[in-house]
Amino acid sequence: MGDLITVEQIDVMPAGGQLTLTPGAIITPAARDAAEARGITVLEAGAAAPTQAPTVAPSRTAGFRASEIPAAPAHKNGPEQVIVTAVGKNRPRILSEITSKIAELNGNVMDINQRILQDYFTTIMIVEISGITGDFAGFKQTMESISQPEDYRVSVQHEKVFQYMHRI
Amino acid sequence: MPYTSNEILQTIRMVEMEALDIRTVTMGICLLDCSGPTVDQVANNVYEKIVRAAGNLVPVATEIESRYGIPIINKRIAITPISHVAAGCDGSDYVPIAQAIDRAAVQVGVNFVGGFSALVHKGFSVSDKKLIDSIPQAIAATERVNYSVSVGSTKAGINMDAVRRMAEIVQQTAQLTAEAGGIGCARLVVFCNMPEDNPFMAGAMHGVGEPERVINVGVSGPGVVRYALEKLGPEAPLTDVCNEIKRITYKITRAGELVGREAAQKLDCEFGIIDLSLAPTPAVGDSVADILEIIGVEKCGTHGTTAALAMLTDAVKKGGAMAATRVGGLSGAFIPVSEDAGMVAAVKAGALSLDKLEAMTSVCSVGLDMVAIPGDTPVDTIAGIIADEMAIGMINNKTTAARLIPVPGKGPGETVEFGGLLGTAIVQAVNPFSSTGFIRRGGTIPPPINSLKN
Repeated sequence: MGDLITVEQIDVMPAGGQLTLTPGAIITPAARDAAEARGITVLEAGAAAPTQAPTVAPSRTAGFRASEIPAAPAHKNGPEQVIVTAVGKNRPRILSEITSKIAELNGNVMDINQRILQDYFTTIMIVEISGITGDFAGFKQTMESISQPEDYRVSVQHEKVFQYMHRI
Repeated sequence: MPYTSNEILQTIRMVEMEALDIRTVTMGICLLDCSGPTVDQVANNVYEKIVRAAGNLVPVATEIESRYGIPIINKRIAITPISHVAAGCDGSDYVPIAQAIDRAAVQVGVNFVGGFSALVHKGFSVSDKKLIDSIPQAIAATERVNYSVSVGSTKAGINMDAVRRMAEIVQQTAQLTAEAGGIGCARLVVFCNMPEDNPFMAGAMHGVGEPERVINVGVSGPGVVRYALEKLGPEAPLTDVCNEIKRITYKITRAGELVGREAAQKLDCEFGIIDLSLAPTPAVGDSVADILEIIGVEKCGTHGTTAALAMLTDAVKKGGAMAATRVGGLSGAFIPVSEDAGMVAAVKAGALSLDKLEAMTSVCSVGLDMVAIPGDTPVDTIAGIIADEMAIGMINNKTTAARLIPVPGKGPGETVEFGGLLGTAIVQAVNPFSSTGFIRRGGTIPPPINSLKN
């Protein structure tokens, strides 16, 4: 079994120091928070050099150990897709704002559907993300922050949830 | 498009407006390898095992939440009943073990750990006795540990000595947490036919027949069912109402299935079961009572409520069973009185009495749950309430439970605020006549004969 890093271990370390995890080590979320609070840098085992980034999922989520989580299985039903939905009060340029952000991140719009009802619009896009810059979490965060909720709201969800809920 | 825009918008509406969520992702962890000669050693082993096994639970659940856009409200842990784990150690009480579990819960970031439990439906072992005696002190000394005791089953009958003892424990626990309205009792539940794979608190545990580590999922969605039935309108016949409930619970359960599979794969453990329970929250609209009222009873608790609830529970199971690989846990409609705003309103209006609640539990999971009773209720009366509830489970071959809160210093009709998910409770009147003669006899109620069904 790998090392187990808990708050107790962090507490005895000098503040501002560095902790290098051995392969297979587990660091608890509380320990990670304690490390952050005391300015201790936690280096993952075999910390990802920028060149080997795209194989694994989010490293941005707090406390998430990318190295321990297996990558999503290869997609049997074609490439990995997400659903991008935008809802809000209609005004010019919205579609262009959304699609240019997708293009910037290297996403590929596969299908699009837009409806305007009175003053409100709903846009649904299917975006293929196999070739995006960064990972899913980064894509989601960037897309969801392009607009203020009182203007219009963008949400990004992995396609699988719709497949599970609406297809037998 | 592979999905219609209505389908996509329905999912988004369910999450944003109808309170669809995954109520809990619970990791079951086997602690049978944590025994030791001293109580402190067991406590250390238990702490280390939980932290190792569940260290990644919260980050993985959080990542899944963001990936699919469906909130996972609780991340929890169920463990092997501690009366088994601690059986080999010295020491007169198990409070240090409860405290170690509490520390482990804080460490891994889960809000509850269930499994400080004993199974005494046929009798007490030495360890069971020590565990039960430790419960009031342990509850007062912890915040995240949940306690449960199995006192009856259809195969074993009801251990009435255990029922009486648990009534005392409930009363003591309420006294020890008196300044917070007896809230300690919210983490203590007594069971008949206790399931070994239940992901919901306070009764979660990891049975000895379970694998090393397992992910169990509890789905939710009273708000979603309510919205669908509202759209169906008041004129639709009950057959259509059932079909609508089935259709909608199928979808809710599929979301749970996806989350469970993904969590199990990422945490490298087995995917166990989905618990098909409609679990309410205090949020307005996320209420089982509201569904019953939309089906057509004016206030939950009036005549017809039991029939409506029977229909609802059955339809939920039928819809969910097809959506899930494996079903287990409690799987019924939860009616935790304080946690369901509609139930609280029904009690306030005088529509829902303790007696009617008891009748309702004969057709749904999971018993008298989060029911506040007067603080001066005699122990024998509490034992009588528990015994009645256990008998319903034993005879009907189903799980029933009692999570009663004798609120110190409060009488019938008074309100007590527990806060957060536990909600607000109105103290319910109990029958003033005594159960003492019956309870004081002690002994066992033998298991029922199963062929003569009536």
